[in-house]
Amino acid sequence: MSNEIHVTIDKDLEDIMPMFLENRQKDLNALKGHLETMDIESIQTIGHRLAGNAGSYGLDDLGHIGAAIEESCISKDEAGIRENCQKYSEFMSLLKISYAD
Amino acid sequence: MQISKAKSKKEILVIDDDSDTQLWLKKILEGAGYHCRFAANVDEGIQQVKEHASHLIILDYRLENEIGFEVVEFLRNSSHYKSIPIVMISASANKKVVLNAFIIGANEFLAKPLNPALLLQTIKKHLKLNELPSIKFEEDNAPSVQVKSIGDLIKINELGFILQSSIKLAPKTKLIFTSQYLKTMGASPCETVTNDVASVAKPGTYRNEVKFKGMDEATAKRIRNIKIT
Repeated sequence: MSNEIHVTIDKDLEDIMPMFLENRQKDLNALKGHLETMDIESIQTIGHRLAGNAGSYGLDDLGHIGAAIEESCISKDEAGIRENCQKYSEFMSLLKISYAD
Repeated sequence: MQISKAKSKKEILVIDDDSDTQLWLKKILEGAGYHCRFAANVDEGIQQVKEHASHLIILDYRLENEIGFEVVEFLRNSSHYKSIPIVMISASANKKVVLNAFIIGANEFLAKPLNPALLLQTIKKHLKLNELPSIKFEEDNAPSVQVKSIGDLIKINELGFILQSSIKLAPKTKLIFTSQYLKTMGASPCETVTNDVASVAKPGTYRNEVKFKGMDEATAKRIRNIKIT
């Protein structure tokens, strides 16, 4: 797929990356429910944590999406919340990771 | 990622409610030779502090529906634990949060996402600082106040230090800094003393030449001189 997002991650993180990615899927599943009820507080928490942890795992762009989710929650911008959560979902579906020293 | 091993197994307590951050920190810290324990909220964190010796604490500013400051307050008000260095971390690294972290007693603030090299360098620095000799706060005509740890005086930037809120300057207090301490802190020439902040560096005794900025008269009278040995 031409629009895949290829990211090279430090090989030292290879063993913990699967858990991180599994938790992102849990996030996306939880967001579906939170978006239905527009539970802004819970969505903001997910965005905040993503903003804080994704960059450490080598996924800076994903961290920026998390920060955008948090920001849109703070400003109670429902359209922005939906848009940024969609970006989160798209990013994860397109992400292709490789590892290097 | 090149990580140098710590010389001995220092105990680091991580208080953070994000499992991904915990997992990452475990990887980085244990890879560098530290031993880690984890807590996800204020109560668990304080419990861990009481039950296990910790050489340093990494504390998230925002914990679920709590603020990590409560842990800092507990530690700094405790004679047993007040010297434990605290590295506060947060994805909410705005100026107000950072300043509050230092005022309440954190030794360092690192913004998330965490950089492994910077994190390890910060930990190494504060573990080393905590092993330095005590700083004494002396008074000329009153019982001296013994500060037992470097953690009682917090560096806020290249020039400034701020006293822990638990330390009250008695009249005519003399601040004594060792040259080893200053070298480690990378301090620069003595210039100013503000209400609770002193910028200090080269050896010598500073009396009238110490400048006071933004300090009320009563507080100014409490600091008679600053001696650097």
